[in-house]
Amino acid sequence: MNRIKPGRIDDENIIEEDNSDEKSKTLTPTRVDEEEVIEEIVQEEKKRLTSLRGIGAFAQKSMVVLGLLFGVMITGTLYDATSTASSMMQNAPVVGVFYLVMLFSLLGILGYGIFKEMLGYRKIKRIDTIQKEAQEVKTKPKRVRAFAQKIISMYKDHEDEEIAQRVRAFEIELPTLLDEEVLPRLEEVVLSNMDEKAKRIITKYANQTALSTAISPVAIIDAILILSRSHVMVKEIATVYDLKPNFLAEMALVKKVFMTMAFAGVTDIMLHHSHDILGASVLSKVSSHGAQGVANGILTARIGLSTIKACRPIALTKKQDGFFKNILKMITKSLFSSKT
Amino acid sequence: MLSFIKDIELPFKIPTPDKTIKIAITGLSRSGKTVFLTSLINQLIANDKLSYLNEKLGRTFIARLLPPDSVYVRFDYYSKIKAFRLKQPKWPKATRSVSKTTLQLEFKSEYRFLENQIINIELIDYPGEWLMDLSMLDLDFKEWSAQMLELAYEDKRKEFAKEWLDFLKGVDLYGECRDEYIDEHLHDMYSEYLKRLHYGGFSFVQPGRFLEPGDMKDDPLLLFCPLPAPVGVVHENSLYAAFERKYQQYIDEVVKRLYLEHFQSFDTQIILVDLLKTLENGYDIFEDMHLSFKHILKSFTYGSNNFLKRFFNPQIDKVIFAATKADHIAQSQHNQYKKLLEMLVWDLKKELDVRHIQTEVTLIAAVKSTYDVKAKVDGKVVDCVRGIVEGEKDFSTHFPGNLPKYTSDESFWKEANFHFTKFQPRSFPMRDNHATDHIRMDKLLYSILKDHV
Repeated sequence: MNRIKPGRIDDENIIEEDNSDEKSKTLTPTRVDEEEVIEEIVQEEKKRLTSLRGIGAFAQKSMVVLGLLFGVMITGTLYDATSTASSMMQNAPVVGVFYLVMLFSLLGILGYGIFKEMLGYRKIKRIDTIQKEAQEVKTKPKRVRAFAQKIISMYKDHEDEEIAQRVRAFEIELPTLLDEEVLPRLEEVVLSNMDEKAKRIITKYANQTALSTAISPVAIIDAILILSRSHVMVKEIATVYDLKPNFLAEMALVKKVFMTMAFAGVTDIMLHHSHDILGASVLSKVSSHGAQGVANGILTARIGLSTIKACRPIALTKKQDGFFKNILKMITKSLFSSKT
Repeated sequence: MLSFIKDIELPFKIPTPDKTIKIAITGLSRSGKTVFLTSLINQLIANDKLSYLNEKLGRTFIARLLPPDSVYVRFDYYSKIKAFRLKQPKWPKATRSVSKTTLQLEFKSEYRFLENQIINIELIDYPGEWLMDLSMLDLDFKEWSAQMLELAYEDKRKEFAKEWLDFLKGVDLYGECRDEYIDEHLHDMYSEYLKRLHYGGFSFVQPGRFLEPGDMKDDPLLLFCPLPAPVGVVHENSLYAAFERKYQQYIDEVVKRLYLEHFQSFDTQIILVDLLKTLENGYDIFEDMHLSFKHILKSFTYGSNNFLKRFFNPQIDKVIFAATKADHIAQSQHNQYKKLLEMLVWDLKKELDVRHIQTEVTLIAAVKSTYDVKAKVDGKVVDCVRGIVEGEKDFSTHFPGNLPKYTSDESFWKEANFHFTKFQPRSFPMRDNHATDHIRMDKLLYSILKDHV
């Protein structure tokens, strides 16, 4: 394949003077790599997913029913609007024009909103494909650069100036990295910073939930508090990962969050841990409200961590037990030290 | 939360232990040891192009060269760097003797009441040829001769050795020796053979002093060469007996002394590998280099022999293999370049791993003398390097050839087709506040320092 004779080259032949190296690659021989074999782990995942399929199917059916209902309503309304408009145009054209202008601007605004929703939704969906790609790329070092470029373009215009700066630094560094260094470095420079920020948010909200539910006297208020705090937290975390979810996107995200929670092994272990750490003696001695606060705090933290998992382009590699322990310690400290 | 602790001032400072890291910079001749050392000192003193190191360590430090001690010859950084700062900079000449220097790093302590941490890095420069003598330490004359002769009869070396071997056949080795000049003659022919090997790209060449005698030029001690083992009785005044005595003396007085003085108890060993040489010269040279490293490492780390065990208690905890001169190929080839080095050292790496010695394979250019460009050659766009060729004044562009994908030795060496141009270094910045451009030196430095800071 490369039969080009090495040696000196005339200056006229220089095309560009930069380091980006993707295009110049001569075609590799057509033998298919063994890496192309699809991993079996993916199959296993699918099997596990089937248990949740039932719920999914039910949800989909109800979505169809809801959609139909919505469709009927909208067609009716539109028909109403047009007939009103036409009768108006005949009877009082000035008012009719006014009416039409308002109608169209309303439709425009609605359409724009829906368009935005779709965009946000697609962004979330894109994370899915990227996460899958990240899994594949780990075994195929050749594609790692293209993948890194994708992530760079995703986060390059991040609102958070610090993250955007890190992304730019990584972009400059990328050509000097060897293939196997790209992913670790990406984690180190860009993603770890986002994780840190997200974890700070989780800590904040876990603490808030724990404290507020511990002092609230009624169970229903607890539920509302947890829901509202979690909702805000999920949004904030998603913003850290540059997702800025709107309504549809958030629905998709929440679905993902609960899916990851359903599969989370860490959280199951956590329940054990919470007993270990607090111990029966402590739990029995503090008020039941306090214990509930702790549990709610942990729940929030679990939701938060699942959100990270759902938003992160590359799956978390490290075990997060340590993070949970820290949160637990912090919650118990702030709850019980403030009580006495 | 606890940041106020950092600013607590005590009437005294709590001392932190000083550390001395001894770094063995190992490399065969022309692998770039001197350039590496000069660049390393330059980089650490200026510390403006080591972003990776600084980011990972997260601590500020200053580097200074300690004044020389009276025992050893000093590695003359200043005259070396002067040569690099000329308008027409030159690569340093071949090293002829051992020299030493200590670079001190002072790290700012995290807490005010702690003393600054000090790390001394001892650096040694020496002729790479001498390194080969290391594996002679655990061989006597008979064993060594047998090994050398076996090598000389190998196909790839035979043509180089022909003259010497033919001459050897006509000499009475075991009877009483009457010819005064015969030993000198034999020695000359043998060193001629070694020299030819050396220029042919071979690196396993013993004894190294024959190529680079240093202060032992014309020393009668060197007048020996490997001889076939005797069958019958050997006369006391025979050539064989004389050579055997000289060999033993050479081992005791030259080789042992050198290693006792300079090569004891290292923390980190950096092995610089000139892969360009192998790529240009082909598979034989690649194999030969592998053989050399095998011998070198054997004596450095896992001596089966008592002498070695006693004196070099194997303290090396890290060995870094670094392919040098990475600037002579385009950046897009670096992955393959590294893979090639991995192929070269794969068994050594395994051997070290089971001995709990960390290993690392990397590539560097201590001094970056080229930059990458894309150019059209025969209708194809390829990555080329652009630099000033030695002896010329202007930049020119060169296509060194693309590294084939390494699937097996056969396919690789069949497809390997390279031409590397000797580039001259680019001028170093005039003052110590800026360092020269490099490739991956910061990553290498981090690997060296990370366990000690």
